[in-house]
Amino acid sequence: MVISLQISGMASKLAILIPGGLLLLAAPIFGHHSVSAEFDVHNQNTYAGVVTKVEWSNPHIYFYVDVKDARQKVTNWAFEGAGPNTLARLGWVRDSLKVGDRVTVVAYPARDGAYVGSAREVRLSNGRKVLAGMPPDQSPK
Amino acid sequence: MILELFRWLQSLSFMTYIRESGLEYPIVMSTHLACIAVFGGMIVITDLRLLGVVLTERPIADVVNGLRWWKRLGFVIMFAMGFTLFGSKAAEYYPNPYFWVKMSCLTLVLIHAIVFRPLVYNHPEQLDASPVIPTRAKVAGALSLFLWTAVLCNGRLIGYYEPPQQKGHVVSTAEGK
Repeated sequence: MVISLQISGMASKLAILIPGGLLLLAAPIFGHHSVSAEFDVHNQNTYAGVVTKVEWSNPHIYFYVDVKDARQKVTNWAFEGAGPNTLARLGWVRDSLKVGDRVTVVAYPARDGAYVGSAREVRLSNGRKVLAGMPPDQSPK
Repeated sequence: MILELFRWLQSLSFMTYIRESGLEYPIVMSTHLACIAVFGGMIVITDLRLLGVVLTERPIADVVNGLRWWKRLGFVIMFAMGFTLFGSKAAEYYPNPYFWVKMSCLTLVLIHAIVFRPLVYNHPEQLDASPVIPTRAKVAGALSLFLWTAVLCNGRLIGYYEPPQQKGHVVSTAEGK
């Protein structure tokens, strides 16, 4: 198979301008790795408890909360949030969550029953509510 | 022992800074991915030329010699970004099988270079002198395509691995009533 290509001056300009122009129209990618594949997006829950650990890392932060249920059983939940860059634009700072803080987390729980959740919103110990930056709530509306 | 090394690497202040950064990590990651498009593309074109599929009106020497230093520059940038990404969370990648397969494929790429540089890439004019593309050139091109595709796919899959131990756990249950 022989592939032969002769590009004229005008066509080569268009070949650069058209993809370049399309790039400028690029919208945020909401695909990345599907939240609904891992978490039950139809079963939003609220979890209240004490922060035990914060992993402030890219590409996702994780924070761990000891949650006590109605029967006094304490479970350590792991919650996933967006990366530090997205969170900074949603009002978070590095120490928005500290070990020992009392927080309330609105999250989608893991589909396989693990004590892991995709955080949607966090009510911090100072009363402030912040979005956790995970799809679909990646920016304030 | 390797895990201890990975933990130490991740604890370095530079690696910690990257891991916790707002802009730097996304920039490093985006540069690493852009290299796939630009320099990975050059590798694909070279391999397809060796297989006699594209740019067949151009001598192999033109394609190989013309892209050589761009590919080397691209590899340096790609590796620097990749090592930074790895080092920022090294301990987390330790149990990840896709990470290890990717590293194995990169090692095979190194072996591929050692074997085929003297045979193919360093003397592309010999390949043009032959009436048909020599088999060793086609083997080099095909193997390179396969290995780099494996590197890319496993690199992508790294992000989808969840270690078997649960992240969350039960702390205490209620006493009997």
